[in-house]
Amino acid sequence: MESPTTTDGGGVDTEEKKMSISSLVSAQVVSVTPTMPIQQAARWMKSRGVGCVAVVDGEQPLGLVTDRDIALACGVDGVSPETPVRTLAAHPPVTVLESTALPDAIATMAREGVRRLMVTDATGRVVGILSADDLVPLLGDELADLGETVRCRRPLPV
Amino acid sequence: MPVTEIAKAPVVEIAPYATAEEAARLMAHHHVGGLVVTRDGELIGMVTDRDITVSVVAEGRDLSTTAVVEIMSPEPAFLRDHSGIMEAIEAMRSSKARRLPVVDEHLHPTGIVSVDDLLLYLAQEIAYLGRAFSRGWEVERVTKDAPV
Repeated sequence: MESPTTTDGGGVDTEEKKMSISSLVSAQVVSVTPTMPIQQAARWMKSRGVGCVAVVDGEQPLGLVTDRDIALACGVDGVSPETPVRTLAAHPPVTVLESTALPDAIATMAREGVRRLMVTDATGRVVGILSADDLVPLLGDELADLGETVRCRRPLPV
Repeated sequence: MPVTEIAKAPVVEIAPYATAEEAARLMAHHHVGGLVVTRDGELIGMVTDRDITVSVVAEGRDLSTTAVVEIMSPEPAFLRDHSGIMEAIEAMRSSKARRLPVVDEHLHPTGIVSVDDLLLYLAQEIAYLGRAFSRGWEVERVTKDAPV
């Protein structure tokens, strides 16, 4: 049985990269080959506890497939679970480089209407997935820290 | 702010013995990821697109013969009409669900609140506050450590 590969997304922690998304990219991305049957991709989603797999043909990213894509393809379009998962990764994926700055990555998500981005290195190799879900805790922490600057300066009530 | 004011997605009901295939069709038609499962109008479960994928497709089961009751999350966490935002966040955090049904006192579903609804609402408020800051408090930039 084919196995998916998992890749670590971590980037080099240089001054430049601190401004980029590389440290936010999910550490583990489940990649599957285009010929893997949909049912098998679904099993990997289940066992790895992920909602999305990256379909990768060698070095070439073909797209992301989500649990929703599979449910609707099988339940509405009558796609057989034996069908290769590549048929669900029909559209070119929205990708960004790992050197992309966070505000630009967010702008790309908003512009393309997606909540996940495929992240590649400079050679086009997939290094991870950036999800809006991962950004909310980060931005929430930053806002909470900002809130602290106000709270600390407030005189305590008597 | 009661959660009913930020709940955007339609609440779509399905019967426990409807099929996973029917669930998928409803999810596609209404552009939702979750359905409330009701019996005699009362909430008894939640079923999501992920449930279909991990409990039916991954297990090699047939979508047209698997019943929703077999794959749903029974006795789900829920919110009431008067529940507030913080309560919704806490309920999602502890149940690990990204969408929660809102019910009335008879356990009849009246809405669905998702993390996306919360994110959209809070993001809009913060963005609006940001615009107010950038326009109305110029004098603060001149004075260091100005009192609040």
